[in-house]
Amino acid sequence: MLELRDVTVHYGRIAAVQRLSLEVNEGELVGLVGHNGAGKSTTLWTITGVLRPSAGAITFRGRSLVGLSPDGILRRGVALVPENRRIFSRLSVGENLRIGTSARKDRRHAEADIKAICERFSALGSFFDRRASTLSGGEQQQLAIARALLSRPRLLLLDEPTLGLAPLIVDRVFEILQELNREGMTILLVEQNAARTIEVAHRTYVLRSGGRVAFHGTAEELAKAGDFETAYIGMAAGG
Amino acid sequence: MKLSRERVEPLARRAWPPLVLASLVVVTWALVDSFGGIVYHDIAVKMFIMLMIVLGLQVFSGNSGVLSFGHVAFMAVGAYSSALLTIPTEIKKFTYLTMPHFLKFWVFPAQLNALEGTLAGAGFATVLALLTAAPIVRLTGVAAGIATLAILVIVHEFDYQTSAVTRGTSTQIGVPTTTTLLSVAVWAMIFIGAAFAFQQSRFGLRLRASRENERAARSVGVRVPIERAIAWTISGFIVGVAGAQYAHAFGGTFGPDDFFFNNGLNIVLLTIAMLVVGGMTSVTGAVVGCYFVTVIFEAVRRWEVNGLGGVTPPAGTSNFVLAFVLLVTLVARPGGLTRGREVPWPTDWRLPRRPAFRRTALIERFRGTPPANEPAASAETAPTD
Amino acid sequence: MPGVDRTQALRATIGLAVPTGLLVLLLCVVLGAAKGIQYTLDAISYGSIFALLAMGLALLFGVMGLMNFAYGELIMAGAYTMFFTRSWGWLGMIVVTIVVVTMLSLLMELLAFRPLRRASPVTLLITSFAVSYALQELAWTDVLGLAHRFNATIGTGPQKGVQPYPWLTHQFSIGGVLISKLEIAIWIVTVAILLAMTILLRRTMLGTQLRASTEDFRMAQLVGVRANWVISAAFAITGLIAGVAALLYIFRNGQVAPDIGQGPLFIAFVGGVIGGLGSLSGAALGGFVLGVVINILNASLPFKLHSYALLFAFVAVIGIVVFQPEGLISVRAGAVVSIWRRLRRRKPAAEGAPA
Repeated sequence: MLELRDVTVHYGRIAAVQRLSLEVNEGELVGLVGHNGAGKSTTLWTITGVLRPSAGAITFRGRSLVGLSPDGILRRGVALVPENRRIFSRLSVGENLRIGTSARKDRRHAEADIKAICERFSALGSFFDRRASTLSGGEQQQLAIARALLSRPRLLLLDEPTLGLAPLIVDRVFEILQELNREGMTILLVEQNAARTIEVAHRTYVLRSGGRVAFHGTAEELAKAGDFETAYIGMAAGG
Repeated sequence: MKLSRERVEPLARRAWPPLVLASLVVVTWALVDSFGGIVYHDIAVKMFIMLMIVLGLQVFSGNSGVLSFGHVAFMAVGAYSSALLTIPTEIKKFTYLTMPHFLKFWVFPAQLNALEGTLAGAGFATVLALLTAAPIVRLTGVAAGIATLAILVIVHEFDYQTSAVTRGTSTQIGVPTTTTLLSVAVWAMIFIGAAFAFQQSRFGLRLRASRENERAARSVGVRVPIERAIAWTISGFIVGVAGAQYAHAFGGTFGPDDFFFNNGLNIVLLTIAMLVVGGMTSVTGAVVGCYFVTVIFEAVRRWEVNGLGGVTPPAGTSNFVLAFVLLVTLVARPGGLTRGREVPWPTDWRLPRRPAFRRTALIERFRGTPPANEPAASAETAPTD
Repeated sequence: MPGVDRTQALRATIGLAVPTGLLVLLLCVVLGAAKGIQYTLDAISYGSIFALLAMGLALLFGVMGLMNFAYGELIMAGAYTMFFTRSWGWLGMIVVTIVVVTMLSLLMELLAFRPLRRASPVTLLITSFAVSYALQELAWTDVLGLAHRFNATIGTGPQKGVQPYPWLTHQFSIGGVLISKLEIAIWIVTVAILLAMTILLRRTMLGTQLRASTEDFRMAQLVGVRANWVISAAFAITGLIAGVAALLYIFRNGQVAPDIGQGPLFIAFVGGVIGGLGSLSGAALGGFVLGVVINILNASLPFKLHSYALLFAFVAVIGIVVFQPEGLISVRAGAVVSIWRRLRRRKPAAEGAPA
């Protein structure tokens, strides 16, 4: 569904991501892990159009995403739940949800979807009119995910959704992601929490600095790839 | 002592840009002095005065990244105070009848010569700089722009209203016309040297670090407000000299509107345009911008007056062209003509490369969708490549 | 940005209205009730215009971080449009003026500000100056050659005027107080626009998108908000407000000149900064109060003194920018203490613009 081929992304002269290739097939939950600075977030920003790749191709359902604006890419069906959630703290929860439907043309269905989401994430329903800044970290994460879902995406990108959350909430987040995936949502999950990610994902890419793929495969394949954890940590040290 | 290449070359490299720019000033002076008529003489005097202001602005804004809209206030203070102290005493007794006594008793007897008058004017401008430093140096960006603009308005209003001291909108009488092309040229060269000296000094280096990344600079111990205050004061002095020279240049026919936004010669916009078009972050940019804008501005002015090929544009076109040039610079090349670089060492000079993707970048910007890894257009920080 | 936070608005209303009320009271005492009330009503209608203008400035400042000094030129454009359409009947004049000013605002965005979308705030500031200057000079030079069509000198020539319709300016007396229909119209229009803005921001999708874009532009794009539309909408709304304000202002004053926009811009700007450009209600209130105060001072003080008013106004601007950049609307009871603490800690004041 989503394919990156030899994607290179520069910040000025520095190449944050070099010749990265990955793919996400429909219905999969694919993980993208790696230590800090490996280029995971950069990859997501590039897919969603915030950054421009200096080389390489990014195609989604056969059509190129390069050069489109972020809202254009959302309209194609790729939604991002960014790092640190980035909810609109000055808006209410309801307004945050509503703005997630900005790209949709079907008003009435959108309203129905908002109601449905509130039933699924009960916290959002009960805080509907409160300012979003009053929510806890876990609730904000739910809001961010809900907001992304409301655009009816075909591919959901998440950037470190469990960052800064308590272990119980982390579990809940992973649960939600697995539920969504079972319901048919294609997910690309960027995480620091490598172990959990590899567990839940169909396949996982392991990046090291410069956005190069060090390992790639299913949970079993990665386990077989020898002393994986040491290699992962070794990569972090040696870059 | 052996004059080895390793010893001499670094010093030569550092001295090269100011020498080149100073020679440019000398050559200009020589040409105008020998061949130019009164018209070109006046243009050149004005240009050198503008150059001083732009240099002063560069010392502060170019190194700190904080754009000041109010530097012309120092010019006003320098002009008025130097005029007051150089006008012959007998004349002052008649023209400043309403001056309050606490000023009269030392202003009236003062009758300074050209140099003393200039330094005194600059001194008063420096005092204003010291007084205003405290609030200004803590601000950046839009807030600083607003605050410095406020200073300009305050000084302007004061000059306008306090006619007991400034004669309000009436012209000054008796200001000795002591400014010559040579005097402004010499001061301009001195300040070119001063601007480079400051930029290369430890103060300049620390300040430039804070321009690029304020937080990082603070974290390595740069006391940003102090460094800014130093630059602010120095620039106040420089612009004060410019003001003093201005006051004594054209027969003392200046008024408060000369140091504000007026339609004839808008010094505020002119100097900012010169600095931005040339490239704010380098002294070469200040000089290049000054020359470039002057040439264009005066050329259009001549065209207004004389017409060319049967076409005579209406009066004021020159100002419009100035604003337009500034806009084009901001959109297309916010780093200015020099993009923050100084005069290159002869063996370093390379043909500027023209990256092919610039056109698409420009199209994208007009469609409003520039990606985040294109460097943000910024006139006040040095371009990164 | 654009919040109409109720408690803030209430505090600001009290905080800024009390001194104004006292001033008005003083006026009534000095001049007698009828005259005092008349002056007050006049001042209120004057201040209302600046409330609108300051709000327009705050809208752009909130959405883009842009302090648009070219706003005064929108008023100038409105004034000239009124002059050229003065024989078209009042409805024609009003419609055309609003349309022209809105178009000019959109054009400004398209040509000057859009290509600088990601520019630093200082670059945008210089740009707005350049645009302002370019437009003013265009008017001065008469480059558009409009003079020829009307056999009159515009621009450098004698300043032209727009005669307000007599039925608008005719003053009638209510219990000794002279009011004109124009003044009543100004109040009604101002209140209507303020209400409309509030409804727009709070209850429409566009309003939500505007507020989200102000807070986090990039994220708004990522949830599907079209950047260009939102910013164009902001400029269009600003243009509309400027057009209405121009109509009201010129009907009051009548003069048309290339620099007619400068005065109102200054007052709206200072008032906006004092009230707080980060909030629409704050800016509107700041503009209103400053307009009222200036009007009252103009009417009551000897000429000499009120000219210094501008000077003091800008000293206040520096004070606000340094100590309370969010403007007075965010002043709390403990504000004096917090300002003192800030001084003692010698921390730099926060940046005025939201991210």
